[in-house]
Amino acid sequence: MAKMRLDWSAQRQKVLSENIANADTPNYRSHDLKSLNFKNLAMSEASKVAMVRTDAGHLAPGIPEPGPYREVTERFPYESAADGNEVVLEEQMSALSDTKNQYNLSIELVKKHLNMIKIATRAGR
Amino acid sequence: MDELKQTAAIATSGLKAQTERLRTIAQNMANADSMAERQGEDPYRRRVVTFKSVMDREVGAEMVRTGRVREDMSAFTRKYDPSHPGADAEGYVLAPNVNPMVEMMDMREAQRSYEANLNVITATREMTRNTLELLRS
Repeated sequence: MAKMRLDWSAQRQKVLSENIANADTPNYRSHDLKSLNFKNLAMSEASKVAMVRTDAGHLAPGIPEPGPYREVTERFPYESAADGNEVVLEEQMSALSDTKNQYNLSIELVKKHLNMIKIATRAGR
Repeated sequence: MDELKQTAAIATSGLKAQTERLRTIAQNMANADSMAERQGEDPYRRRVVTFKSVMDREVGAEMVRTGRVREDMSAFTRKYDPSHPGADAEGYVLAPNVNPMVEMMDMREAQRSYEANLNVITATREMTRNTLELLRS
């Protein structure tokens, strides 16, 4: 679960940085990832379908593989600028630091886990 | 390319785009008094940077690029200065359509966006550093 959350927050960081970089692009709509809860996890595991390449001559899909977690477009933005841009910089910044904290939390969890393994291996000696 | 690297690449593209914008603003400000040199000629025309989001295949994400630098086609202002070589019969010279207030606002906006992108890079760096810390424990 901690590893999943790491993956998820890394991917979310990417999506948020796209939003922030495009904060002045006309007609840009902000994206976000679906929040990581059990329901969404179960759904995404079930709906993962990919085309199989049965022959070496088959072309790989041209679009780079999107991450394992689903990206959604903000449907009801808080505000949109006159040029059709829907990125709210403040919102994105808070989401960014939130994601960073979650990432650090997961890292700490993994660290604790490793420590426990270390203790267990020491006990054998 | 992992996601944190992609994040840094995207934020860097944002930084570059905002720098380009700031450069154009500086050009406008510097030329705010470049009047028409001779009668019938046009003075300096304000330039505007356009942004667009581009799918970068190498990075695998939507980056931001500056599009063509376009000219602002709004009307020139007129200034009364009979001694100027570019003055017409009534003593008016065509002055650039640069409004220093608008440019200042634009500059502040570019600055804020630049800072936001910089914050993204800082956050990403911290995340990467914490990941590397795992090796040390």
